Amino acid sequence: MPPVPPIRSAGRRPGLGAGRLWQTSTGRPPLRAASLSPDGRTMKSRFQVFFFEALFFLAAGALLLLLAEGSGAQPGSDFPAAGSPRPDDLPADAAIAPCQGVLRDLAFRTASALPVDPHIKTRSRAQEAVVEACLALDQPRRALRCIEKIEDWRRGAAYADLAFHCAGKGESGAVQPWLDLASRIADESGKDPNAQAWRRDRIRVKVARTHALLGQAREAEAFEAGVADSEAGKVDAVRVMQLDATGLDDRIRGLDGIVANGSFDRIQSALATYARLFDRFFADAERRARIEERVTASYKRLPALTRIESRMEMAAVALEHRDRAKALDLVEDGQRILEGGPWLPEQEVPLRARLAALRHRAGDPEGARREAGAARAMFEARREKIVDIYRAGALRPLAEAYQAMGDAEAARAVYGKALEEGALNPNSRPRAEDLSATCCSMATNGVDPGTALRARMLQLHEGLGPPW
Amino acid sequence: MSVNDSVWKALLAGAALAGAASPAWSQINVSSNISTSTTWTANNTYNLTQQIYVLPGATLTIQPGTVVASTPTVNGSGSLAVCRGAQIFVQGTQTSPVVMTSTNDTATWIGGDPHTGTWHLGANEWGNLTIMGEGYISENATAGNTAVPSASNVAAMEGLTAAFPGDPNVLYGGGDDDDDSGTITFLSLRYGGRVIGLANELNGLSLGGIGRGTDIHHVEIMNNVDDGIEIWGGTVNLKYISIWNIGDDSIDVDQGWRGKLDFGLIVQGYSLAAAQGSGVGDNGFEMDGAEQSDWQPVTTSTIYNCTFIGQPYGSAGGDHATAWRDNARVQFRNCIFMDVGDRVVSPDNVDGDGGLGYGFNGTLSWPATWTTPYTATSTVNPPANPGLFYTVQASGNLIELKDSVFYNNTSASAYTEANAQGVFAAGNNNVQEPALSPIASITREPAGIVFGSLVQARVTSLDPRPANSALTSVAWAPNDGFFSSAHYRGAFSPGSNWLFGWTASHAYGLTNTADEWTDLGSALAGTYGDPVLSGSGTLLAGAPTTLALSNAKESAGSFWVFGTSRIDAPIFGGILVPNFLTGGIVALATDPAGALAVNFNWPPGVPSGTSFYIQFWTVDPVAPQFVSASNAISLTTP
Repeated sequence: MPPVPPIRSAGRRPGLGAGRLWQTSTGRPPLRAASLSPDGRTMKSRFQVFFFEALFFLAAGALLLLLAEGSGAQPGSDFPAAGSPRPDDLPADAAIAPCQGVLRDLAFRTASALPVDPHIKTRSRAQEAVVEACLALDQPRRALRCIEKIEDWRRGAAYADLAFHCAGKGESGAVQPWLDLASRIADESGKDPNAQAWRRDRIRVKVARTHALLGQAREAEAFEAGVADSEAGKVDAVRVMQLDATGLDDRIRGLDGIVANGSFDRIQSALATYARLFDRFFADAERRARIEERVTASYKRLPALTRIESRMEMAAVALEHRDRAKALDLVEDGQRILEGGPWLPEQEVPLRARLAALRHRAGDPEGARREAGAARAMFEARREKIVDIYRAGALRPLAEAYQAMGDAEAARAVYGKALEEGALNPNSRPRAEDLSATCCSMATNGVDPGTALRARMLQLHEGLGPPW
Repeated sequence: MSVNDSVWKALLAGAALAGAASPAWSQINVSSNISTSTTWTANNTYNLTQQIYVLPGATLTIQPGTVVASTPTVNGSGSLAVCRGAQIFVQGTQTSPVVMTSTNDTATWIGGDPHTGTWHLGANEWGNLTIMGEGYISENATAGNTAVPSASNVAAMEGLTAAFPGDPNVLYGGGDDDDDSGTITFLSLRYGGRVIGLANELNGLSLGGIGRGTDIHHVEIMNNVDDGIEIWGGTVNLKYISIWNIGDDSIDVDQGWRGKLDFGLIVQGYSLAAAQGSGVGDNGFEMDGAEQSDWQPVTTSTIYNCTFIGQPYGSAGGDHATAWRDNARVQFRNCIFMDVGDRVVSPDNVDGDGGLGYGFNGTLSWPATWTTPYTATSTVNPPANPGLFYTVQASGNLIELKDSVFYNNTSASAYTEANAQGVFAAGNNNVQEPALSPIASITREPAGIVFGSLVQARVTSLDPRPANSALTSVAWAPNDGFFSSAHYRGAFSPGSNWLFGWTASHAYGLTNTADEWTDLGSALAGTYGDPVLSGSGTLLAGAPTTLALSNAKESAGSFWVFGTSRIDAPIFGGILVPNFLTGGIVALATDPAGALAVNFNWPPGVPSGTSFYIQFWTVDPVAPQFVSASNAISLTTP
């Protein structure tokens, strides 16, 4: 035990004449002088000392009790387990087809098969993707079971996504405990001296987004404070969906000003907001036209990929509003941008497939099949140019497109090819990532793999192991 | 982790005994690419016999204490490259670092122990470590690349030879700034730079398009013929970087790097008896914005707490501390720039690769970049999502040198450009120190020798911890989840030397300062942010010892918690680090300035190697549960 020395000079600024001291200044203006007793403590502070000493020992006792009960950190993890909140606090899971459940579970088992050492980052990312699939299937309780097996910062991000899902379902009473857990993990993740700030910020923005959705503006701002502008833009996209008509008019005027002043940074922040406003104002022809005009104007500065993504997002909005003609216009526009290239094949195949899926929904089934076929042919023609670990990722959107077209047989065939392409690499890490992602894709798109494909998927899962 | 000299010596003795009792490590010749995931273990040494690629999908894991020692040959020795889609995990620790070096180096080790050895004049004795990722880059030499950032923009890595046109194994770049190429910790790279079959030399560590999902901290480059670390694009962040005796630029950045650097040491010198740029140091930080200056992304980064030590012979000794080209935007804060050969700030503007410099095609001019807020990303060829591209800078202007100390920079033009850009305006809190060194001590070779056209005096002993004007900065480095909230200038706190135990500089006796005190973090903010606990003293019997708490709530009850082990228990919304059941709790109080100092003489009889953990908890109404916590520190007796 180190000695308990007397306080020699509590009143002086540390570091002056004290040898190798660090942190020699508080950086604050001097405070009022206080009369010090010979040992450097005021009578008031003596009282505080004894009062708070008692408090501290009480707290220490409480701590011992907590430790004795085994609560606190989860073994094998630096992050807290779900404490007081329980799965029963969550909305019930939606019913899904049995095959979807099988795929969902296989996806998570596959992700969790990745060894923590050294692949904790990849493992957690893959697990988080399954959580997202669970939420897409409206299965928050199943999502929670997955979340609690994530062993790094992504558990916090997933808790926040769970809270956002609940809030979106109107289950505001179920939200706060998950936000608290997410916030706690964000704080913890920032305390590692070798931490990466973006991970903490990503959780905080997801927390802020949920507060914004619940109309808790002050809390949203608090969690959003200090994070990167890009992340903050995600919160804005939520905020605008809650504006009333008057507020929307004000927002459009504000966005008009942003576009007019030419600050590209702010134009980009506004882009996500425009997309949401397009949705919010879809039924209002005059306002929708204004929004489209602004979006189109900002495209002059955007690269092709973003323009296509934006067109696809707006087309999806149009479809939600049952305006197939408008959706098809947007798809055609995206297609024109795509044809302008250049693209790597692993980029072009999925973009072409996604446009085909939208084209089908927009009322051009023949064109959709033609484009899907073109994407499939392109994959075959340029397959050798694609590194094996990227091939399944190129094929999955094509399978999803066939499924959207109602061609389950073609979808299964492409999924089957994706499975085989994803199994080519001699290492289990990329194979597990691909298998898990393919399972998620099939589950969320309602694809029944059938007996043969299911057996092959299980076989691929069983084949995972060293070398990872 | 903290290790003291006695423990170290005991370890060395143990290693020597082990070496005497058992046969030498097995040598594994690595002669083919790594297509299936592989683990290299500490009971072997690995000799790279040619350029080795870790192929897409594969993972190379290197366990603590593993030595990769390649044999120099006439035709060039081996090198290691990690392809896009592959990963590398270098799992070194402070006591068991991973060393990549040549057999010329290992021949000087005592009993095969990497913590020993002797510095020698040399580089080019093996290749390097190259990592290629899928982050965005701005490279204009590859056909099809576009000025506006695109996921299809790629480039062939310098020093690697494509097996066929379009060979993906030598390409870096892509569209995933979160890309994860693995984790590198406590890695010492020594005597490298030799290239196989090409004319250009290799950097010590080449990072092409590396995403922020990659974790890199505690990396050392000792004696490399070309740059120390070169970064092309991407978003990778670096922490605790030591670069010594580099033959070109110590840190070279290009093609739109958008990452952070915290705690970096650069000690310029020479690695070969050769010319500047190919064995003798060039610039400290060479910052290129983009390959062509109006392309994007453009280099935009923030650097805190770096120590740059050049050659003290004016422009006869070396080049610039910071060289700027093609729209680079970098903020330097809380740094030390000393013994700079030529200019502290040099607006080189273009780099001879066709780049057209600041102001080209409507981009910001050089002076305007110094006065433009960080929020103004370029409007020329912008990315779709500049907010996502440019997340590093969080305050101030696009280029800054702030809150730093400048010492013994004797070139006639040392400060010309810095003055022109207002570096020494009062609000920047910079100090031109006329007399007192900002570091604890430095010893060089007795007389300068001439290599090429430059006079050189290699550093032979360094205590890099701060002194005088560097002891305290005006502003704190932000506690933003990456940067550590340091309140001093330069790469080292007064009580800690993070080079200890794992670096060549320690093994060669160049930086022997023990690391008795270690900052463990885990502060919980109160009224004035994080209370800061520091410690000083040699921990030798009778030596003056001080614990100093600052930045806490004024005139408040404060509890000194200590123990001989740590508990890391969540309490009051923070983390209680010391296990007080093995020590105790002492009630004290802060003074009206929110400080508290505990001074005593270290008692005799404390066994060597004994560790203590200390933290202060202070009553504070602003803290989440009305109690703030300082960072914890550990100390280990020598």
